[in-house]
Amino acid sequence: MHILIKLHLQLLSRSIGKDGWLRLASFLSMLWFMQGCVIYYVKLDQIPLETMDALAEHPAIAIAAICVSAFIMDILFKLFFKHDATVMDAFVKTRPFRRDTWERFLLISQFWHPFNLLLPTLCAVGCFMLFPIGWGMLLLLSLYAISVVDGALIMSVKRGGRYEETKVKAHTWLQNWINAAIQGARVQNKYVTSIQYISLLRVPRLLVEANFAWIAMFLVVWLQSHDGVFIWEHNLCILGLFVCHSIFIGRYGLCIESSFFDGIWTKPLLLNRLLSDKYKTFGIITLPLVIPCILIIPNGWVSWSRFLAFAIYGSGFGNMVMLTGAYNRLHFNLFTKAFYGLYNNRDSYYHGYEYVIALVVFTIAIGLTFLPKPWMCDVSLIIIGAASFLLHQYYFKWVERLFFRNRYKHINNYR
Amino acid sequence: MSIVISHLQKQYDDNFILDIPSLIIEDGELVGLVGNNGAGKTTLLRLMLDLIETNHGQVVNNGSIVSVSEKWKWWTGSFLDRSFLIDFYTPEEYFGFIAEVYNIAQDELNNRLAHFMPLMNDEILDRGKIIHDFSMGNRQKIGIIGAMLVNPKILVLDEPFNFLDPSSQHIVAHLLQEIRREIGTTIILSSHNLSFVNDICTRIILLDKGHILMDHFHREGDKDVELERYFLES
Repeated sequence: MHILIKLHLQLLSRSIGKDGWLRLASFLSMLWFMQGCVIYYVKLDQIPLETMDALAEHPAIAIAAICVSAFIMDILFKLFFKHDATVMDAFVKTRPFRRDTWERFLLISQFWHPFNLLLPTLCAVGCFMLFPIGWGMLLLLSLYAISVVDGALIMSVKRGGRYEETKVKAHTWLQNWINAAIQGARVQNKYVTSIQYISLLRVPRLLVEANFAWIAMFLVVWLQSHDGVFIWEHNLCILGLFVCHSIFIGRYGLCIESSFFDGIWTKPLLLNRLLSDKYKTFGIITLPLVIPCILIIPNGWVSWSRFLAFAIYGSGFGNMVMLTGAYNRLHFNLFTKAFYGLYNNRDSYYHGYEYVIALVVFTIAIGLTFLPKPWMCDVSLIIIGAASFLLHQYYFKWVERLFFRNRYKHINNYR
Repeated sequence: MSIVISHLQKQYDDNFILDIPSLIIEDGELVGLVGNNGAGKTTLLRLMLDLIETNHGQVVNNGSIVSVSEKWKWWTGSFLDRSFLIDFYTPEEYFGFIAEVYNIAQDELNNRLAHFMPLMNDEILDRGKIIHDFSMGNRQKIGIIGAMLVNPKILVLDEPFNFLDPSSQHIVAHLLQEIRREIGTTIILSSHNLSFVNDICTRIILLDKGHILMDHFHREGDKDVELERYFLES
């Protein structure tokens, strides 16, 4: 058992690498510092004094309530996002490890599984800022224990029984439904189109990113809208609703297809068709985010014309230009268990100019909000977005020509 | 349908990986490409499928220059390795994808898949698994079926007998002969399995360090003595 543990920790350490540890340390330092600032300057001022007194008088009850909430949210989070490598790889299988040793190792490894460290890491600063040190430590340890137990539970559920088979069947049902939504009653080319969103459901890393985009944008819009005052910065939130997926997922570009690009290239399937499918998918998968946001936005916080204008601009123009360099990518291991590249030392699969394009999209939109009349901004955004919808196929044919100029280099990069 | 290769060269830095002055593969031939590791077999197949760039020369697939036109993709089926498979799709979805790309109706797809049932052996369809979770052997079967499903006029396979159990190897060999007989498919396959190459190929090309060392017509079932001598002595 200790050999397995040592081996696993060595592999983990090696995959992060020296640079990775430095990056992780600086990321955590920055995260905790920002958490501290946010809690101290923003939230502590806004928490009613009575609540703070109650926390101080009955810390055990408060901790219990936090733990129950954390348990529920953590279980749901891990159900969707946590994927464990529970099958022995060839190296381990050919060594004299018994099956029950392996099973025990899988359980013990939950103590240092990155997903299980996430909850206590994110809550560490808050624990000590809201409670005295002793109670803060108790809360932190409780959250850690909850996270480990949840992690083990989810691993066991996914490992046993017909979880994977049920999931695949559920995806097939969803695939039929989404294709019907995209193409109406007469569904054509469902398997070609569904590469884009089935990959989001079945490729663990993309599922994390897609849902992270949803959750992050939902929280941003909720927090920004609850005080009822719409200032110009809030235009960024509304636009972000409609382009978040093309930023989070779109930056992967053809990374997703890179694993099977040889199979695509040798078939009569045009690249502009793939890009067009991606473009439409970004629009469709935004809907489950937009509908709840419409429900939580207070009445009158943002005008309906502005909301619609950003919807058309973001979905039409923003999603389109984010795919301009989609072909210029590297190979991407679809089934890596990496969490935000912490397990992976290699360079990014994409280039920084996607963020430059995103900046341009936002700058144009925000610039238009400074036009003398609000309707001028709304009309301009609608015209840009609608024109993009109508002309996107020609745009992607142009992108396809860019790909053809150096196609062998790109195809080689995909391997 | 024929493949014409002229002055084909591929080099990396100063090393010539492949150098073929001329090669013509006629309609209906079943060509076995053999050679030791590093001979250039996979490189030649990749050049035929426009997956890598030539340094010189061209491959013409029934009048269509592969590096210039995309028409050849409509009549060419191929499977080289797992980079041809969509790992997050189930086999049904993957076959459905191929059918859509080649405009094969669902009914026709089902008829064609029925033909491959002996090869699938109840291990591939209706398993509720994505391709990534299948064994190497079953993935190989999925790839071969995917290539043959489109009833291609040209079929390119790289070591199709790899990872397959003996029964499946025989089934694949039989299917290749059948597709050649019934549709007139021209097949180019590379293999280290000399026994199957001798059994089913009508022409054997031996590559050595990127050059064609031997290229002769062959009677199916006969043993190629010259070939065996080459591998024993090398």
